[in-house]
Amino acid sequence: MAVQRPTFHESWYRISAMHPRLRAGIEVRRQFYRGQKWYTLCDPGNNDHFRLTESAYYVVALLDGTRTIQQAWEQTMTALGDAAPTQGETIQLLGQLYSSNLLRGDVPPDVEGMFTRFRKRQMREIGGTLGNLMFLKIPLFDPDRILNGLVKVFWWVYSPVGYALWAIIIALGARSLLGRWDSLTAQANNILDPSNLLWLYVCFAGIKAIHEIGHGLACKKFGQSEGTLGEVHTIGIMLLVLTPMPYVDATSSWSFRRKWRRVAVAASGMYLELAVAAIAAILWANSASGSLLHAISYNVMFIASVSTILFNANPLLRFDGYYILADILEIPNLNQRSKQYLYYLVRKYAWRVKNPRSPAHNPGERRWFFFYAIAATIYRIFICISILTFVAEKLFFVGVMLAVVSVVMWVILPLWKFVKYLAISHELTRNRPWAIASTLVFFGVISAFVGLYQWPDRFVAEGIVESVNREIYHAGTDGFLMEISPTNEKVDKGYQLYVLSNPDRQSEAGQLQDQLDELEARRKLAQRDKKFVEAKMYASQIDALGKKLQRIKSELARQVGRADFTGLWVAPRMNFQIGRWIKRGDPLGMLTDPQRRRFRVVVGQDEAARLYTDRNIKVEFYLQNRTDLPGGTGRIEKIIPAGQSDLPSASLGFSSGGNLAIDPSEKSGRKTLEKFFEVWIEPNTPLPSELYHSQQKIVVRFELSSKPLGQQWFRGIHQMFRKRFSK
Amino acid sequence: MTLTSSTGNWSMLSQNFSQSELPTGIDLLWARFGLLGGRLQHRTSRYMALASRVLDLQKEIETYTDAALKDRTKQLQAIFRRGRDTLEVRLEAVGIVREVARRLRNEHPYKVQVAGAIAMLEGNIIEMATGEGKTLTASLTGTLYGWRGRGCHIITVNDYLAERDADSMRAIYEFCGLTVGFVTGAMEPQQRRAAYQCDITYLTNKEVTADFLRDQLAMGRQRGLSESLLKKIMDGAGTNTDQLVQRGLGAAIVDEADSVLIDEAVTPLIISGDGGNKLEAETYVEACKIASEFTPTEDYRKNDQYREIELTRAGENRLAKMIEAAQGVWAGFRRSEELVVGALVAREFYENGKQYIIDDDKVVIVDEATGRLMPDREWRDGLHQAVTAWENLEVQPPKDTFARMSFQRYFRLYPTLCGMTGTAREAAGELWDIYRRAVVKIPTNKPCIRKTLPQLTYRTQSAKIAAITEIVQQYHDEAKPVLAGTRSVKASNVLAAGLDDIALGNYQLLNAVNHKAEAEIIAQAGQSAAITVATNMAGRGTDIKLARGVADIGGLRVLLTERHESKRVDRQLQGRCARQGDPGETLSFASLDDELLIRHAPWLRNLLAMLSKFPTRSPERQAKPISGPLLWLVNLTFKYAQRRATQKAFSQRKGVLKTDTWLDEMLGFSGKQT
Repeated sequence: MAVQRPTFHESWYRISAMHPRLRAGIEVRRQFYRGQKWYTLCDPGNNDHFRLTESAYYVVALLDGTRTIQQAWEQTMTALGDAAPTQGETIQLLGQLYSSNLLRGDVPPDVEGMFTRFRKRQMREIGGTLGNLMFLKIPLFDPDRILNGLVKVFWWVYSPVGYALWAIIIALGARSLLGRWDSLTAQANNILDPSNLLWLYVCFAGIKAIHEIGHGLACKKFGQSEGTLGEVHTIGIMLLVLTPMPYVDATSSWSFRRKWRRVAVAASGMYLELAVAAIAAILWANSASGSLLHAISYNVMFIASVSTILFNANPLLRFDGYYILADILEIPNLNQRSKQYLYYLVRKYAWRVKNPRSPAHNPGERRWFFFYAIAATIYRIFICISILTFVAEKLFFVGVMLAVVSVVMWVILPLWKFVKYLAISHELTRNRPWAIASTLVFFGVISAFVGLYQWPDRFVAEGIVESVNREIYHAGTDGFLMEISPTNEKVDKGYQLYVLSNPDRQSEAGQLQDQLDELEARRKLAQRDKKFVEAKMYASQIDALGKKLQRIKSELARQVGRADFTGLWVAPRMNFQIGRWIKRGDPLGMLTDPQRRRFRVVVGQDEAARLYTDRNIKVEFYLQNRTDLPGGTGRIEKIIPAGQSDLPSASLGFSSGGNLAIDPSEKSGRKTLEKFFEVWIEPNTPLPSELYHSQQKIVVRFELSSKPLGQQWFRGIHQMFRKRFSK
Repeated sequence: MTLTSSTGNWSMLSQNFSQSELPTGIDLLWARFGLLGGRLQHRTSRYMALASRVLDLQKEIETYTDAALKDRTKQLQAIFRRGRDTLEVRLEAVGIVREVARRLRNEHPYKVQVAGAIAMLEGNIIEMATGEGKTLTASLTGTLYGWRGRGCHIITVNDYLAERDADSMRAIYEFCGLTVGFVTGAMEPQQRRAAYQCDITYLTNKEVTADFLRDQLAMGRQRGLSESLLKKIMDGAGTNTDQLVQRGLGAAIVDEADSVLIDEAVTPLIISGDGGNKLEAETYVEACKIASEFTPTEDYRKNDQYREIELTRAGENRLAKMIEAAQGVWAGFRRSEELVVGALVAREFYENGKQYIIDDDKVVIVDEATGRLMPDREWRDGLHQAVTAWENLEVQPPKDTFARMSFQRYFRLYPTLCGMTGTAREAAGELWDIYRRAVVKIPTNKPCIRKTLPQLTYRTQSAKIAAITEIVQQYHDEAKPVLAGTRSVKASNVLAAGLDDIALGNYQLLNAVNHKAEAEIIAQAGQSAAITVATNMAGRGTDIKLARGVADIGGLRVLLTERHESKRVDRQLQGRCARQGDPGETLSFASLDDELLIRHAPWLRNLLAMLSKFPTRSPERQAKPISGPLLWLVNLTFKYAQRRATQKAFSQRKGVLKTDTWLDEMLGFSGKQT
């Protein structure tokens, strides 16, 4: 029958005559979520929580050990009508209560079954732990009594006095940082310095311990306000990506009636941490630079603020921020249920399952589920990939192991479950062909897009600007500098740039001319006299002297420098040299052609290989940090092959804000760790000289011929592995 | 009486009836691997070798006097009772029982029967062709189990066979110092108790399961020997333990194991009693009144495939308006919708004479497959009441379920379980997965010379019927006996009508009569020129012996008029002919309109229907079976559909078991259930 919730269930007879009841000692608390009334059953022994709807609780509340289940159910039916749970739902409800050990039956319990359940639960926990190698939790001891003692001393931290104090500390801390922004950011570069790592970790662990104690204390303090004990039974160590961190189990706060108290417990860790950060800021500001206190307080400040905001406050990770968000929104189990909701949407609209059960209780929840599920999934994939690559880089073996486990847990298992669901689930019995077809089409479209659709393939590299036509003018001859064009002036071709004067040479030239004239006269005389031998002698003398004069004359001609091409004359401070004696070969100035530029771009080996093979490359460029300016296009002039490890400029190296890792042992800062290719790019159009100075950093984007995304990703992953693991 | 009954009862009380869990994941793979390993080891040859060793003992045993033989059985019984039997002893025991059978019945069990008996002794399910003497084989194994002293249930297909087999084998058992009993549906608890106290009890799966459930109910929630003893001491005689009829589960030998352990496995057996109040019954009448104002397509849509009704928006509005001012049950919309939809389902999908008949002003369910009446059963969830209300009969409130169990779960409780059937090979995987029993194929005594002709596939149902009647006519003219097996009661009626059309009136139609008459008719099916039309289930367990001279004209002809959902059932029907080395022939017919294709390979069927119309649509061609290049696709489609149907059924059975296990876990607070 196509009825959504059939009233009867064929196994009802098995429980109808029983009179079970809730186990003694189970705490029941009424909570409101989004205006709906819920009841939370809490087992104080192990902080297990179980949330019931109003109608479900109606049945459970009627079960007092004297009524039979049948009576309780009938009474609920009369009272609530359609809202009452059906027989099937009641069976499920009681079954769940029983397997959570919240229900006591009226026959001696099935002891064997209890042990089986216990074992199963243990196995599940172990399995869950192994599945979460990234967040391995190891419980250590029960801190309840210690916290009871602590809360007697520190209760005021969570009182108006405490809040006021906190606000003052934060304000003082913020004030101490005012005007120190530069040194603050400057020191940030050194935080990951190897010499600091140990200190960094010690501070980290210390701060996190304070954070966790904050949770524990808040749970106790607010638990007392709630009238429960706010029990905290587990403290332990969590291996967060193999880094040991303390953690505390404050789940008893989940049964608090007031939502803001639940939020407060979740936020209390960050509350203390921020106070610690503020105190550290004050210490840092008031300690001498270079002292140990200065360094440690910087570490503390950095961790307690940055890590808190990045991790703890982030609702997309399952840390404090998540619980705060869930409590503020009044949507418990936000993460799990939002995933279920997404799944529900797929089942309903893509697979056309009839009447799937929505995990949302009202429209507000639906919206939140939708956005949260998508955001959290994307974010988590991102985080997992970055953690994995990070770990893989540091610890090859562990990294690969973690990657394998994660791939199994997050990809293969869900995929297997998904395929199994598609293949055999009862829910899909009727529209299995449709469900399979729509799924195949969906994945087909995606893989066609990834595998076939041509997507621009581009990468970005850095380089420097260099002038192509650059001539340095050296003094062609010795002489006094008579004139020189002012620097940074545009000059045309043939323009006189400078004039040197060498009076000695000039007079020497005059003398030689005189001697020549005289010898010529003599030669002519001898010719006329038919003294041929004599005339010949004069001629050879004339020849020798003429050559000498010629030499001097050309030297004199070099006293005047003229521009060989139109360009910018750069002769800084040379106007002060006028009248000075300039030696031959001394530089006088430089003429550059601002129109013609070349970019020397440094490209990794993998990318360069692609530049070689691809015939169809578009090159675009823009000045670094000046994306507001129009860039330009260019073409590849030349690729200087492998083997390079000396950068064209130190500014491309890691230490100067570039992308390339630099050999730290080299002083020059130009030696790279990895060999690279140098690519020369010639701009297609002349560039405004006032912007593109020589030696300026430039960013070049190479756009290769389009390729399917799949091919690009595969290459990227392949490269990453080769780079990471070939060392 | 009290003494024996009490001694027996304690074992019932102290027995731990816990369901072993089904293997999953890697365990399942490992279990399947075990099955594969078992196949490699070739059990058949092992048991045939052991049987040879038994046959070698014959010379010595033959020399025993009757008294010596009896003495030896007493000694063996003592050994078995103490559980000190070794393989040697067991082989000798089989040899002794074989000799007993020879002397008492002048029937010397063949080597294959001995091999089967040994295989069953080791907890296997044996596949033994029809007519090879399964009853005798079971008695060999049964005797040895009987000697163990914990009782042995021999499960038969129906009450008639239980009585018949118990009587025919009685002499053997009694010679071996064992008592024999049988249970039939009509028996009183006293008689049942006496039958269960026997060493060997012949009975049907329904009786044994029902008795077990009733005993569980009688014991109530207090289970366990110590508790019951205390209660007995405190309350004295006449406590609930005295109402028990069974004495615990020892060993079971299941005849037709595949149909009991697989085909009927998930149908739960329900013990119910009167419950509910008169007022509740009235609501169903009201529901029919409301539902009679609803019209199809406008107010509701029906889904024939799943027998479902869904209200449209208009229908929902109409209902909401009608119950606006109502009170009580009709106050809530959901419950009202459920009742009205239930009434509509009863009106749309349940027909008098098809799904039920009216007998003595009561609605009695008809089993659609076998045509048997099932007066003890009721449809669930108010359907029975709705159907009754539409028929304007007095509506009885729904019965309360007291206990419920599927055969699948029940037979898993036996510490020793073995079985025999004509067809088990195809179900080996399932028998292993669920019952952890291996299948051993036992060869036939004489080689089988059955001729199996290729399947003829027609385009339409009517063409198929015409072809079948034609061939029946032909065989009849040649004086050859024909057995036409049909899939359902409806199909058998259709075929009978077809035979009537060609004025072939002298056929026997077997679809819903009592077992004894069924067996007699089936036994006559081997007479020359006999025509028998029967549902597949009819007359199982009875041999069809050929009349004189029939063997010379080729023996019995079995016609498969439609393919079944599993190949196993097809083979059951085929096994009806060519028994014990007799000649025989089977012919199978199918059409593209067969339910098998429509339900399990609808796309392929439509494709075939389209392709088969080319190149011509002439009536002569339409009447002929499909031939030519399309034939391979046709055969492939049937194979595929059958495989799919088998797989579907298996996963459904497994699902039922899993749901049961889940329920057990969840409902642990209601005490332990079996």
